[in-house]
Amino acid sequence: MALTYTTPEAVFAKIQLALETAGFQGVDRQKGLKIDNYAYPGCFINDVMQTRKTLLRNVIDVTHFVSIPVFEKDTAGTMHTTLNGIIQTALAALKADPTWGGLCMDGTIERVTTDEGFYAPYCVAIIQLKLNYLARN
Amino acid sequence: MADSQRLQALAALQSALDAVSSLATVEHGYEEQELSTYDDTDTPIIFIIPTTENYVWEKSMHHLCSLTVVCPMYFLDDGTDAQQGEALIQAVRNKIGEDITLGGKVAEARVMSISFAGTFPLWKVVFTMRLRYEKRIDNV
Repeated sequence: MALTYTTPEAVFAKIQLALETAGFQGVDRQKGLKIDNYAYPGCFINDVMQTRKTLLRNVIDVTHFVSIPVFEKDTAGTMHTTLNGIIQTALAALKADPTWGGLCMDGTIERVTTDEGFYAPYCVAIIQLKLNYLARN
Repeated sequence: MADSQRLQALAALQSALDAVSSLATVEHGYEEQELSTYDDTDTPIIFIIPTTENYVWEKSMHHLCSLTVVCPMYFLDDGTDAQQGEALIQAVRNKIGEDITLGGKVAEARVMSISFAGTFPLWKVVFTMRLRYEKRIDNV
């Protein structure tokens, strides 16, 4: 039966498109957190770690951990409200299709951590995403 | 004691499974091979692994042996067509059942049990088979 094989790049492109569609301006990939260099609300898509299990010589089961910092500048003095707003927007985009267009077997949000004022006047949340897909060797 | 009858019985089982068109690869050995040495085009793959052998009855120069063979089978499936596993099981069962003497090489070949052990996307089905064959002992 037909199985879908993909690459990290193909999945990341889907994630980037979903976040841009949701309204994130400064979507960038594999970059450090220098939020004042980017438009906001913005986010980065960072490749954290992969675990690769070889099922067959040319069939690999990949579990891919992705870290996505999302950020916004708070201009109204309601940092928590602002932060909650971008978290909800990002989660809605990331959870809309766990298969990312059929490329992945599963995609789950593992954790959301917030900065609690450390980057004020910016507010930052880091969303950790776990992807599971099949890749070719 | 020559092992020729046992090897003939196993070769007959291999020939029977080779004739199952839906199986891509049939491997005979004394242990399961590492799956990462096979490509997806090698699946469905089935291994023939003899395990235990005992005598059902014995006479001075003549034994009826019962050989238990474990046959793990692996196949890739995206999970949308649940019939593939059923079809493979049926094909193997039918092949053994249509001639339980395996071309006259054994007294009886049977599929004793079938169990599903795999997970998506590489499914595993384990057949436990029993081959009974007569063994002559020439040098008593």
